[in-house]
This record gives sequence, C-alpha cells and structure tokens, in this order.
Amino acid sequence: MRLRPHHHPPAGKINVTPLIDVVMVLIVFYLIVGKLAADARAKVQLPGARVGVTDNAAADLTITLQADPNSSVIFVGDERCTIADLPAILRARGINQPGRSVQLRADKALDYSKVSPIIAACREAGVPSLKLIAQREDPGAR
Amino acid sequence: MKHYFRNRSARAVHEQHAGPNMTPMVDVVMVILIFFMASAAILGPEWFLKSALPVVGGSAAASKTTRIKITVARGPDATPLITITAGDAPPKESSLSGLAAILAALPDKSNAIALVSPSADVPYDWVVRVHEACAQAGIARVGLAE
Repeated sequence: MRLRPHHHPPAGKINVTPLIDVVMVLIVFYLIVGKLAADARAKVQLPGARVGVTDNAAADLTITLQADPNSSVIFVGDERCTIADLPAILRARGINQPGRSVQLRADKALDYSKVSPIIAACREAGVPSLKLIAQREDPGAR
Repeated sequence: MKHYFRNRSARAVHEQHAGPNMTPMVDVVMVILIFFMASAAILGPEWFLKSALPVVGGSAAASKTTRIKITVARGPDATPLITITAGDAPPKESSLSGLAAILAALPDKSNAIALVSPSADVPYDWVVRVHEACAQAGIARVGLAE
C-alpha cells in the first residue's frame, strides 16, 4: 500500500496572519480607550464650522478650555493650569519656536472674556500661530 | 440501480479545493476595515481655523493691505450684531447669516487682513462663526483681538 507523503510547512516559516490580526485589534482597542479617556478628562462642546483645515501637525500644543459654572478650567495638553501660569508653561515647552502652533479647544458656550486671556497669554509667550479647533459641519447643516 | 457517480472520500473532496485559504485573508481585511472605521470616527469630525495673533504696531507690508475690522457684539434681542469696517469705507452692520455675503463682496480679499474684535460678553461660538465667514469669503489672514 502506498501512502501519500504528509506536507508539513517548512521549519522556520512563521505564519504572520494571527500576529497582524492581534496587533490590529490591540491598536483599535488602545485608540478607542485613549479617545474615551481623553474625552472624560476634558469634556468640551466644540463650536461648529463648515470650513477648516485638517492637517494635525505633531508640533502643535493643545490648550483645552472647559466651560465650568464658576470658572473656566484650563488644560495644557493633559496638565491642568491657571491662566497666570500659562505664558511660562508655553515658553517652557518651546512653543515660541518657528513652525510650532497652539491648538485652542474652547467650549462654545464660554463667553469671549474667558477666551481672550488665553489669546493674550499666547501672544505674551510668543506663539507664532493659533488654531481654533471646531467640530466639522456639513455645508448644508445650517 | 447503477451508480453513475463515483463515491469520494473526505480526503478527495478536501484535495479538490485548490487555491489560497481565504479565511485568514477575510479575517485580516475585516480587522483593517474596523481599524479605518474607528480611526475615521475618532480623527474625522474635527478641524481647525487658523488665526493670527494681534501684534502691536504694523509692518510696511501690512500698511499696503486692506484692513477689515469686524466687531462682534450682543444685540438688543441677544442676537449677534456685527459691524464691518473695510479700510476707509463707512461701517456696515450685519447678522451672522449675512456676514459672508458682505465679506465676499469686498474687493481685493486675498490681500486683506481681518481683525475680529468681539465684546467680552459674546459666546465663543459666535467668534468662530465670524472666523468661518471670513474663511468662506476667501480672507486667509484673520486675527483675533484680545
């Protein structure tokens, strides 16, 4: 009786399919968890805009301004700070260098009197450019 | 009764399926699809309007440009009251909805600088709407007054 030879995969050949599978699932998991954690930390209702730009430069620093019943809450990146400390923090992070800019995520319900000190602090720190972050709206939304 | 079809063993049936195994490919493609959907949902809905910071004094180049001053105030019925002053022209009053049309009608917009000067009591949302109207009208250089 003749038996067919068994075909074993050659030794040393790694099947990368499950590896890619698991790595991609982990990336998706961390993306979602990171986003949820960031949202929980800084809840902001952004204003809407029908025009805008989407290139997120890595050199940008984000200032988040939350609406609070008593006073506004300021975050530079993940760090909570006061308006008095803001110019020094911006300078310490080298934001006055050419090519760098600040992204301002301010709540749409805030009065401009709460936002203008941030702009003054950015100017004092020598920030070259300010980006006002907005929620993307469809052209026919309003 | 005579059988016209030959009985096949499970091994023979298995060996007939020639070609690549589709299961891992479908698996990976579905994961990549979910990855891009999640990325689009997380990164997609936000963008930004670029704003300049006001500088005390002006350069010689800036003196040749058209300066548009846009003041934003709260009107008597709590609606936005916007006043546009382009160069030496008399000021025009507008609502938020009519602002883009007034700005679009201005001459030499590509060479213009708009300075948005909001009152302290106006919502930040109105400021962004004014900024958006400037961008829609083709004014690239927009600054925010403190």
